[in-house]
Amino acid sequence: MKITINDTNITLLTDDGASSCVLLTKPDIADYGNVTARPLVKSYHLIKETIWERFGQCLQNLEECCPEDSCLGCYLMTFSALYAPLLSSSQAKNVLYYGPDSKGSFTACLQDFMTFLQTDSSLVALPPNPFLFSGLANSSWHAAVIDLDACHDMQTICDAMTKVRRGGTVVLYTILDVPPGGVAELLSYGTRTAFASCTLYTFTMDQALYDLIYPYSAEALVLAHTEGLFTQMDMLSTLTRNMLEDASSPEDCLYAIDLLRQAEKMLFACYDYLENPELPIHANTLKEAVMDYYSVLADRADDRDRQLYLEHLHLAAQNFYAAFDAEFQ
Amino acid sequence: MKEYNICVIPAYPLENVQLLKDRILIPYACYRQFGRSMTIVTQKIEEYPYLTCLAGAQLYALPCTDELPHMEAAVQYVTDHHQEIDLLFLFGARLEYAELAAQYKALRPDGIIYLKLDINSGWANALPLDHKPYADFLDACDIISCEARRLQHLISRKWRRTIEYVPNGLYYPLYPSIAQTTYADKENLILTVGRLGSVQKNSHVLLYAYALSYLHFSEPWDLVMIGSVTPEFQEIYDAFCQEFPPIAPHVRLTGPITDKALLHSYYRRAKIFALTSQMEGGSPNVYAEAAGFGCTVLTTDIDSAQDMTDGERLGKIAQNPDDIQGYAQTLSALCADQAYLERNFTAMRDYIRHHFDYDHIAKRLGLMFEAIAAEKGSI
Repeated sequence: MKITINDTNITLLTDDGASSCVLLTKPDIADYGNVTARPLVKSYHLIKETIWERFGQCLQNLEECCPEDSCLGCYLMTFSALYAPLLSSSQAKNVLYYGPDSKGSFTACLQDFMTFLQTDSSLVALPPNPFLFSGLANSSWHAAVIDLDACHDMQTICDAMTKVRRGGTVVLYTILDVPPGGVAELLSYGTRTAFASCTLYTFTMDQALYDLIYPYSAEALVLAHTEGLFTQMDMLSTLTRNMLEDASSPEDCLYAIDLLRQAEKMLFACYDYLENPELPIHANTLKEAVMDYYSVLADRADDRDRQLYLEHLHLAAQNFYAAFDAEFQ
Repeated sequence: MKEYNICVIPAYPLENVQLLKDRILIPYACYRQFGRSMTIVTQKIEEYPYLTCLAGAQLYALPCTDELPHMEAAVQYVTDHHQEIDLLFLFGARLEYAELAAQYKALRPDGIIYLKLDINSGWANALPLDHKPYADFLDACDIISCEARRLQHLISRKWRRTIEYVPNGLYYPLYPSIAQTTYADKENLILTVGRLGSVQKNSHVLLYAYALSYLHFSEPWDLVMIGSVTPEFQEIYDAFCQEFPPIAPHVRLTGPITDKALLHSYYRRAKIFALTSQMEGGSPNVYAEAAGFGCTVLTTDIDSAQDMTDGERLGKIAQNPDDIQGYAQTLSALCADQAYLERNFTAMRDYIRHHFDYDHIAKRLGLMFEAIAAEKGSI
């Protein structure tokens, strides 16, 4: 894949030249060479380089850096998709990139163009760990670029998308003929651009899209889990209180054990979002203490044993509820 | 409670001595409480006289050949007998089990696999969790347990799943003399039991720590070391005897003792049980035996050390397994505190009975099996 650049168009061609597509047409703006008197583009005035020239230069640099990269077409199309949003205002822009670590040339070229437009603009390439998104505020980024071939987990993609502000741009790219099954429906809401083996899906974030993706995000899933968890914890708290007052039946214990098993599963399901990683283990210890107390009831153990296991239950319950409250309140 | 057909398959051919260890005794305690049958499936490599201690348990000898080794024959067994297996007990976090577990789950999705890890923290850190067959094997297990609290915390956080704490304990019916033991039976005896001289057991530390402590004893103490002896340790012992002639008569290597009554008589007489291990696969079986007889435990800081001493309430922990001087100081301090040893006799026995009794542990497991069976809606 290669590019040709002239005064008005940037064109993408296959290696054999058999097919081509216009990647970007120079916007019809008066005196585009100066692209308004934007005071922010200081270096541009000094070196007398226009935005169009710099954009073309960045694309050429990218082509030289990774001529054999099968995703080259995706990178070039991503540049094109971000061109208008990056120029949309004189605000500094922040863009998320989520893909393989090895895409340094692409991100370096994109960062170069963004810095040229606005010194404070930043491109943040996240390491491939989906849980990083939990540390970012929702609706705070101007754009997100995601390599679908490196990440096609619906939850991760939705997590990334929820970080983009209203009016912001989301670009998903792939070199696969058929998009991964789990995200096919989501992709149908984007604008599809394809050239050769490269396909780009572009979304503009608005309330409707946000409402569509939010339920699949980790935040929504954690909240849904924890909402059920609170109800269960209320029930569990009553059950353990009754046990500690020695006013409990074996059936109550069995129900409490079941609730604690579910709680353990839920807590491990949202483990990466817990501040206290010991919380599921506290739940397990309490489950153990309830099981011991069940044996006391079922076997009609002597008072000494009953007292000992009640003390353990008291301690385990105290530790678990304190940790749970600290985590969720 | 429901009744289950229980099957135990070791990763490697079973030895007779292993019949009376955790890998068999925990499923056996379960069998006695809620088992319809119990079958131990193994390649037969020797006679199994200890099987007579396990009334009702069956041993199925796999028809192994050079072409059909133990685990392949076990997979074939599961294929042929899956209908007779409700609970499958596996022992050790071993990749060798991958095919067996997958086959059982394919044939009996309603069946339950319980994996007892028999692991230490070093091993837990080295497990190939990214290796798909291994990850699939762990996923196939309905219950996974480890033998120490410290390990439970480590593995739960690492694997992000529930890991139960199931320590190595005691099956009391095999220890009739425990009930009759009183503190009056105790002598100034320091005891250790294990494969003496193996790198893991670090036995030379105890030998030389005893020699250093000997100088501080206000009354005589003897050291008895029970178990098979490596040639290297025999050399160390012989040299020790030549080096310290006055101390040598107080140190005895008995060799391995297979007569359980005789072995128990040593536990019954010992006041202190000493462990110098560099590491253990969970908690040592001999610990629970010694503690059941009311011995105070001195141990190195293995994964289960805090559990074994209840946070040093019921014994002492030597932090550095190679620090002979430090171990000796703790040992001589223990020997000097007869009042503590006497108090500990009852406290330790209570602690073991409440937390390490296999019958008690089997009750917990029974509740967990029942919950899983209810989830699966079968059995």
